[in-house]
Amino acid sequence: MRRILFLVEKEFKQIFRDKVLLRMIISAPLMQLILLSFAANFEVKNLNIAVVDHDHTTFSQRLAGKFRHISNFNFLGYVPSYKQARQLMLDGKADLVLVIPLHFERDLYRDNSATTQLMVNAIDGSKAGIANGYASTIIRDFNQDIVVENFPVAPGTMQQLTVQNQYWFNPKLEYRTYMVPAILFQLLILIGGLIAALNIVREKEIGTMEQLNVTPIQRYQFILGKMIPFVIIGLAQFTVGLLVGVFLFKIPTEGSIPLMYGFALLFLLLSVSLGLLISTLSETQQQAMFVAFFCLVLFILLSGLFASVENMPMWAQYLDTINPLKYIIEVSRNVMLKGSTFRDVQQQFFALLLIATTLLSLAVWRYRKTV
Amino acid sequence: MDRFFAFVKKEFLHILRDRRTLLILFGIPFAQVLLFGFALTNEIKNAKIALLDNDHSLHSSQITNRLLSSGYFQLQQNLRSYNDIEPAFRKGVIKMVLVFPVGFSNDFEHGKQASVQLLADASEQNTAISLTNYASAIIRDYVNEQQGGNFMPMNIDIASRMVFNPELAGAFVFVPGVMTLVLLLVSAMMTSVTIAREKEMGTMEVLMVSPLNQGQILFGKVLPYLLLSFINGCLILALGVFLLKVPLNGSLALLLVEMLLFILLALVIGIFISSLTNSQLVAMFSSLVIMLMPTIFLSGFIFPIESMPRPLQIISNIIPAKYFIQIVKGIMIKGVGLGYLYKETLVLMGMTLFFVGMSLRNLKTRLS
Repeated sequence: MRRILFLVEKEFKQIFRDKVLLRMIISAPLMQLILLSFAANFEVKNLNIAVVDHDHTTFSQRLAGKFRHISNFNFLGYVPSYKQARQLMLDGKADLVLVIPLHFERDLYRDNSATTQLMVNAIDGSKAGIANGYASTIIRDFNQDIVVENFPVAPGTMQQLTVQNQYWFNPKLEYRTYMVPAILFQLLILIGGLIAALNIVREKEIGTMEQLNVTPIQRYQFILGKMIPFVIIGLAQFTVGLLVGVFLFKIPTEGSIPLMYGFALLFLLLSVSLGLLISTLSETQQQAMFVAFFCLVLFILLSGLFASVENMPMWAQYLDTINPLKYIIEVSRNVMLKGSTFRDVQQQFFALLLIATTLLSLAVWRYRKTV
Repeated sequence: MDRFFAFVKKEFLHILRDRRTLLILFGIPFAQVLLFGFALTNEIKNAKIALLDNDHSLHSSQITNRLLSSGYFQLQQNLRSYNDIEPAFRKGVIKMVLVFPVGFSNDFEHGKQASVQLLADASEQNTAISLTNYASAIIRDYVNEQQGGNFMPMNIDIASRMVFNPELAGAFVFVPGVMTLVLLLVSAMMTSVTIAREKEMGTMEVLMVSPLNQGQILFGKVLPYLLLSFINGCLILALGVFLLKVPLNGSLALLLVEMLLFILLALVIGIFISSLTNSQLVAMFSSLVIMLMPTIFLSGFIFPIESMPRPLQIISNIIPAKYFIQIVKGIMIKGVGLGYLYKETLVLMGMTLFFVGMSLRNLKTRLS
């Protein structure tokens, strides 16, 4: 037991001695949390719109005017020709161009129908879809206005149905409420996995591993001595992240805090085991770093952090059964936002436990005291 | 000159010997492009929903059938009361609950304001929005049919044209993004770590006392990575164009030149980072914090810059990736030439010069 404590003490001394590294360990996760909470926003705002008006009538001017004082839109002004409008798009200055054809007003009065053209810069497809939706709504509003002015209707004989949407657990649909719980746990694998892997390979690379190998330290003592410091750092970081999330970003914590810490601990053990395994497979820090990086990128992209797992193709969902991040992200959202209890998430618990045990056994099996 | 080539050869051998790293270097772009291209979609299919039908009437069952036969939804559970909803959501399987209140059909038939409720689990916010949008559209269609498509006076048709990307393919955004990310990863991170490695192991001093001068050492160090990055970049380009059908409307030569410029910038940043530290771990973390994270979040790769708060928009101007992504999109998709992209190009050049200056300054202090 005392040997393990000495090892832990040594690790902490090493970590605290390297001020730059310490700063990185603290700032990296905080930066990710803050960046994601403020920058990560799929909301579409400040759309630049230009208008090509071939009609020059009251209707066409009223329609264009609708885009003037409305949030989400930034009215660039009138452009004389289609060609110049296209130029604005090539320059990246206009996101949308509204083209009002000649005889727009006359056709509406005479034929009861007219067409406007909406050009949308669609390089970013999802943004274009939303922009198109916004602009269409405004044009339809205008349409409604002129219909009501010209054809006063008799109210209420038609069948009517309203669809009420309710968004539970995140009623304002805030992106950060959705992101922060997942990020909190995702950071643990960064600390546990990446730093632990590099730490051990470094000992190999600079030769101190051999010194450790000739001491009477046993295998399990060495592994515990390496695991404990990173688990402690990870938990400290989790606490800081949680405080920032709750007090700065007002993320609800519906579920039980001990349950969250329990999962954080389990997930950290898993991450450190992964780090250990990677370190036993690598000769240089560069190798370890790239292997860890590769695993992390795959884990993160497939985890449901950005796009939900249910929508992925079957092969990706099969791959995901061994992705620890997938389970922990489900747990984070379920417990923090919905207040799920242990019984609700026990399936994820056992999956994580199984993965952690497998990783640790592999790491212990691969770790040799010989060089 | 012979000495220099010998040195470059040594560097190449170092890299080529490490098969595993090499494999991963080329594996990362493949995996990312494939995942982004084929796995990450926000398209809904077979989302699991629950039904709370308090009405049990013609219209409620017809609407339910409509939703279920659309292919977007799959009925997982029939609920009996309002109190069952929260436990169902807590298990995390059910994504939406469809609620018909008592008297729904009756209200609907008699022109009173009937209402149906869609309760979505918004802990997964994007899915929740898509689900309610799809369901609302299907329900609205049903209502329109019931009303028997009536005549609409003074109707304005909206002909939307999606310029540059008519099918709204996601690849148009992520191919330039992944390319930028991988180039940064390989160029900046690899160089900073290799140089830090030489320092950590003490072999840097051996190099310094060799007859090669500082410039030759640095240049020799980065040359292999320049080549590796360039091959990687071309690989992603080929995957994007041939596999994901991203167009290449502009000049390939210009694109390759811009790519070289960006790689050069990334390499110089890598050298700069390595001049700040002697430890590989620190070099890696600095690359991660200074470059990769801001690139992912602030370059406009995933999240639109215009929607960010002001301070972050201002910060995004110093992220090199932002300019490179604009250049790549400009050349590949819009098919524009240097006439449109000279500003971005100049910014990248300026940044390169800046970091060259900074690194030289740091190197000098190190030597004295």
